[in-house]
Amino acid sequence: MRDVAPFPSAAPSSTPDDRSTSFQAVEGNAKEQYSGGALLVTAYAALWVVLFAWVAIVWRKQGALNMRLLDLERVIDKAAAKADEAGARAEVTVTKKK
Amino acid sequence: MARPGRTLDGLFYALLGVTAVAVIGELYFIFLVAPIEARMGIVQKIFYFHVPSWYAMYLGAGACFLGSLAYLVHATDARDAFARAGAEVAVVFGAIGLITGPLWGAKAWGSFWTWDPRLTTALLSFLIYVAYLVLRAFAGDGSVEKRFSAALGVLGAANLPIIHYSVQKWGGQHPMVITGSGGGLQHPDMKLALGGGFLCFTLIAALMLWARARVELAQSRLARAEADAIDLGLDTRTEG
Repeated sequence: MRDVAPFPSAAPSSTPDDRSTSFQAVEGNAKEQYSGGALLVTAYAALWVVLFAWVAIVWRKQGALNMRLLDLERVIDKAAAKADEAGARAEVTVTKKK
Repeated sequence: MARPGRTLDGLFYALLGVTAVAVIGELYFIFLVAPIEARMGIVQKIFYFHVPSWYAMYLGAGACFLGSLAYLVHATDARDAFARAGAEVAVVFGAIGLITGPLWGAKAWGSFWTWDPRLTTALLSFLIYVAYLVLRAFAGDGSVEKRFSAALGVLGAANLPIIHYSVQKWGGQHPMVITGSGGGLQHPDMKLALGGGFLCFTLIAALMLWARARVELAQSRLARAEADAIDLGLDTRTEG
């Protein structure tokens, strides 16, 4: 990693408006409550967990879609078979009449 | 001549490849090139994907707004699918923003959450899009429900500018690092890292919108085919 970047040398100001225009740690909080590295890793992990969870949800939705499609295909196949059967029967009847 | 579906598939995979390369490059840049911030240390690197995640949330919300508005003007399955996909993208990136922001705040402010104007309005917007998805999941897929959802998609966007300007109007603790006058990122590599983050999240959001809208559209077409099958006297219910 590179060296620490130089940051604006302006002293921390006390007005709320100034405070919200640049990055500043809370004053008077000398001891470190949370490890920056751990927070960073947690944030990155959360990012990927959320994205992968979304992929899993879409995968599940596609699975449900596939099931409905299979049902529809099965019903259409059944109807087609019935129609074929009826057609064949009609053909036999016509042949017999001849 | 290539089928249009194939061309679209090719475009999708090309976009996927570009996104993968961009994300890898961005991760390299954030961790190995961009400097550590002087006062906050390494935790400031959350910023490079926290801000782009809210921006991607805006993209999703914008897609939901446009799709919903278009649906209200002239109802089509594609417009509804685009709106729904947009809402989902908004929720995904809103969730990322709401998780990563407090992790940064823990270090910067000493607390995970404050009822700061920007945090509160951002949470409200996230909840609006969660409500949209809950409505779509449980209210059915009738045209009335779709129109009602479209109205929510349009009205939900009203909060987006409020989030953006809340810091300027009401102050609060939330930093305002990105400004028209150059902002608080003082090192060029910091600016590049943030620019890369915006690019990556734009690509990811576009991929998600595309993939999700496609599934949604396929679902609508299947529902229509099922309805046609029932009209023809075919029973489409699953057996056992």
